Amino acid sequence: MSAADVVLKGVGKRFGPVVAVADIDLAVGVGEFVALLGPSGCGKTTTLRMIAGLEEPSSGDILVKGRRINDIAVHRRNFGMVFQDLALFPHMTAFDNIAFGLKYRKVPRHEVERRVREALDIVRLPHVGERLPRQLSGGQQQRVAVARAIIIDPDLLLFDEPLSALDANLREEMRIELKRIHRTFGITTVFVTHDQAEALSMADRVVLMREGHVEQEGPPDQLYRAPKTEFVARFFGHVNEVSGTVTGQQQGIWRVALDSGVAIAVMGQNLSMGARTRLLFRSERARVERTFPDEAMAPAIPGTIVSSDYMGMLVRYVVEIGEQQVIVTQAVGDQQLRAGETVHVCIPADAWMTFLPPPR
Amino acid sequence: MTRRRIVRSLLGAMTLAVFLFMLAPVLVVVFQAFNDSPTSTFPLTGVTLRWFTALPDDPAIVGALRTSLALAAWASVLSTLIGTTAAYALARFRFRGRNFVQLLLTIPILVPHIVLGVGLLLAFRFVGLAKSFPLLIVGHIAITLPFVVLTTGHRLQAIPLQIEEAARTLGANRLQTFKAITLPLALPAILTSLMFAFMSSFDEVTATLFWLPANIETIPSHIMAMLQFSVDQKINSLASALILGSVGLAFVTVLASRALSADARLKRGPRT
Repeated sequence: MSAADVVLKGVGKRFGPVVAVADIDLAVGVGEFVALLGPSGCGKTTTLRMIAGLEEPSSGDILVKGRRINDIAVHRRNFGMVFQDLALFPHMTAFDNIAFGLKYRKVPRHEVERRVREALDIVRLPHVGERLPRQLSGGQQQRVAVARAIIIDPDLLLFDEPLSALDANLREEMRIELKRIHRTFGITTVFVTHDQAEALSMADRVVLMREGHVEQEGPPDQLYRAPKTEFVARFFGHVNEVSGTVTGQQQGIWRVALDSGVAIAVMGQNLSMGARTRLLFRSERARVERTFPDEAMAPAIPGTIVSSDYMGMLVRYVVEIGEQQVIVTQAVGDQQLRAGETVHVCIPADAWMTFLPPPR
Repeated sequence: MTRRRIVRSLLGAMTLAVFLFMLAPVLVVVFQAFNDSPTSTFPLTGVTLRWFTALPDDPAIVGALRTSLALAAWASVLSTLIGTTAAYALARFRFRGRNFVQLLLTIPILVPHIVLGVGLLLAFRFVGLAKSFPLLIVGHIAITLPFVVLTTGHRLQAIPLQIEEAARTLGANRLQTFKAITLPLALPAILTSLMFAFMSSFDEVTATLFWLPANIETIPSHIMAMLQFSVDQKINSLASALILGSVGLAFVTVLASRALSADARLKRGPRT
């Protein structure tokens, strides 16, 4: 990350007695693509709206290029924003929608024409300039909204869950498209989403928010691989939980006796001898095997397949181990296992995630 | 199947009956306005336009028409200006007493006009203002304001806030946003309010009778005065002319609203 472009210092927002955002510190580097991720009500949109100037922070400072912008009016900030419902002007053609920002920047007429065509090219949407928003498909509207935001040559691009209205295929396509535009122009971008796949696939850095504060931030793979809290762990994909008692330790590897009686090896923190513990693992880090695997690779937990769902590239098994059920997703392999089969669930020692119970 | 048919024909008959009930008296008046006989007869003794052509010769009618048009124009324009501004504030800003203001602006629609008439008259007396044409306008603004606040307010509430926010992020200040986004989107509703206000001011008689200064007559008050003597062809033809005028105005308003809405921009074809 190069020099910070946008800095939030202890920024908070209260709506009456409700704390929407509590003391957020955040730095976005020049040209960086940062995703604010979190469940609804975590304060991510409010944070974005404060950066845009649509909400006034109750506390803290927002700095852009070292300058405090708290008191600068929305229309003087020069940030391009793409809204959740796109917010295209329904009474204007696509052309006029895109040209709107130039109108207030005293751009000469022929120049406007040229730049709108250029913006339409960038979003790969020629030949629709004269249509009204509702004559455009969802994807086209999306592209017009993006063109409208980038034509003003913004210092910062803000996205407020812009893809949530699109269907799955289109969303995928727009993700790639937005990423391409970001790479081409290198505009510093803050992207709000509740969709983990969106955040992980697009962002250079993910900021996971919860109840108004930052739970963890870092590169996508770091959040996925090294979650600091159980909340972060559970936010990505499906997480299984089993419990057991710690029985021993050897060279940093703990032995844990599961309630079903099986002993497993765990590489993890926050464990202590003799303690009851909850162990988490992601459904895609485990493997279901019909034959007992090599003990050296990973200790296996015997179980019975309860259900087996074919999902194209992957199969999703629900396996009963002892009293508990866990979900394992894996590639189909040679043969899809059937419900009722006795199997072994293999979980590598480093796949286990252990967290202290939340301090409450 | 047959049962359904019976229900349908009953429903049709009922609809027709309601329409007849509402429109037949109007039609009778219009019909008689063309009657050659100086008194209402059936069947018509002959068809003529002379009652219409005679209308402009009556200075009392012309004067009353002038007064009514001026009154309705002033009242509706001012009421639309005030009402639209108020509706914008109510729709866009959160402030103390917002609900109270909303109630205050719309309550005249529920208050009998006779109460408004007496109330405002007494209020004027109390502060020592004599009846005058400007005060008549003030009264009519009070009467027509609720139409504007309700119609325009409803439309403003339907415009998503995000659209205005988008305009502001793109560099338009609040006033520019209002001009470029809010006003065009709300214009059909504002025009409708203007028409509503104009018609209800033009039509108002109950409260107006309390507020009329001496020597000024509006069309409705003049018609009431005429009715005290006789129902003659002058009234029939005047009424018919008014009906034509109001239907025409409503029609023009609908057309104008349509032309201003987004659909029309399309039919005009591409711009470049």
